[in-house]
Amino acid sequence: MYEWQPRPGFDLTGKRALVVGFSNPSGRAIALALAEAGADVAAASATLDGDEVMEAKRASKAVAGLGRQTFSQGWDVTLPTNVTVGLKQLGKEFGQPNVLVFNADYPFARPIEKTGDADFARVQQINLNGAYYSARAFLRDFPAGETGRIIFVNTIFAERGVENLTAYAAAKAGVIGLSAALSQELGARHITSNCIATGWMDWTAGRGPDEIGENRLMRFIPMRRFGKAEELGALAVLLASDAAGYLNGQVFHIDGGITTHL
Amino acid sequence: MVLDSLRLDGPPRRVAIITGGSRGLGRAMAGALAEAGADVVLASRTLSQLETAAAQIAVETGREPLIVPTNVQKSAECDALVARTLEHFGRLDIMVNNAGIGDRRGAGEKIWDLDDADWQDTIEVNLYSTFYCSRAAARALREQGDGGVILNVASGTALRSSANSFGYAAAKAGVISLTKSLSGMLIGEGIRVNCIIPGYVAQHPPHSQEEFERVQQRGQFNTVRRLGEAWELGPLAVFLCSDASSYVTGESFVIDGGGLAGGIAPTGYTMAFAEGSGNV
Repeated sequence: MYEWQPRPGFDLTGKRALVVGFSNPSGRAIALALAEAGADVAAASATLDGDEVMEAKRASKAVAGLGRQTFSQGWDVTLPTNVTVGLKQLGKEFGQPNVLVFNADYPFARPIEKTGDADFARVQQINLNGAYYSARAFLRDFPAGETGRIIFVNTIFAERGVENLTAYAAAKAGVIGLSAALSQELGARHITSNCIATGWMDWTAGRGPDEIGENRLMRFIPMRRFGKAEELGALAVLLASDAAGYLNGQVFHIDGGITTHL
Repeated sequence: MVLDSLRLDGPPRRVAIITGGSRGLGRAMAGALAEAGADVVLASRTLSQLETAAAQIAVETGREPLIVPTNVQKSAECDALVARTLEHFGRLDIMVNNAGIGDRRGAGEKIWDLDDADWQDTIEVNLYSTFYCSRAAARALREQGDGGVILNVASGTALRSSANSFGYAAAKAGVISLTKSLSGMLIGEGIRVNCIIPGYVAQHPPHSQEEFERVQQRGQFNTVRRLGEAWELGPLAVFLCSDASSYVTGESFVIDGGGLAGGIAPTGYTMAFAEGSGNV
């Protein structure tokens, strides 16, 4: 009498994704994974740092190499007007995105009593304010009735403490709260919001040597290695897909088992 | 490449056992794993249901599933399930511990009315089964020596109060705990252990207008204003059973439409503060 209409989990044909943040390798890896799965993918740097802007451009070029539509922009996510204007321009040049991947990351480690006001503010502005401004701008022009996906690439440091990470942890924990509240606010609108929490990755600042024998942190990770950017792509593809409408409001850990470790 | 990493057709072609695989969520996950290229083994108690599910999957994928009638409450039958799989397909890669029963004897009863047998039955079918099958699979995977995946299925009821099925909820909380502990124990063998925590998910499309309306109505209380559909677990299961999740272990993936991310106010409840509070 009634039939369901299953949708494929890893096919993003017809999707338009925007990846924000290319200061670490996960921006590029996720952009390419989405493109490989069929999405058109735009790339925006989260800061006007020359290296990051170039990395966004290179990622965009690689997306084009896969035969998808693309566009690259230099953003400063700490400036709400800049984000708004960036998305307006993107809408004109590329089309309104229906998948937002927020991958901006500004790591910062310092004892709390030595953290200056400007340091603290900068950490919040990029990691948390940027997430808020990006999600808000993404949603303001979002076409009613269309399926949307918001994915925050976040970190285990949002939920677990490590010395010297107070400012960073506070900002990243803020992103989890933002995503949880968004998941409820958007629940009735076919738009989901989730976080991917990365563990110790092979680019995490302060991770120590890459040889396990010399690195007691690495020996502490159940998988005995750091994560790689490519290991984030498949989950991003799944979360972006039309099959993922029931995955909402969650933090999914890709962390080599570290958060379940005693 | 990311799409290749989500395939289960090898080489070698992965072999996956799905307990409770003839119906509902198990059937949906079995279908998805088979579609991703795995050879699947369906286990459940009822032969006729196994035959129907296997015939459908064979038509969909062109590959014949193995069916093994199994009562997962019996340790020996879980061992036999794995042994039969090895005999038939020559290997095992993935154990999906999906079998479980929510509305078992004693559901809805108050704790003062529940007798020992009902409690034991609930814990056995939902938690012991996961232990028996995980142990049987871990032995086989360890001997095989090239890693593998154990995927458990728990329930959102394990994470919140579930007064009407507290035994089920307790058993499923045990499944989540087992997932974490086994992940640490087995990672040295290259075996990843993860868990799916479904919220309210319909097991099959509605059979009648009345059922359709009931499902619609219940869905209104969920964040996404609908219940999940069993097929929606398929892609998540494929991700967790494939090399695409190579850095994921000990983790529980909630799929509930956003219920557990909220749940501290009625669905659709809108916060609005008075003007002048700086937060209009």
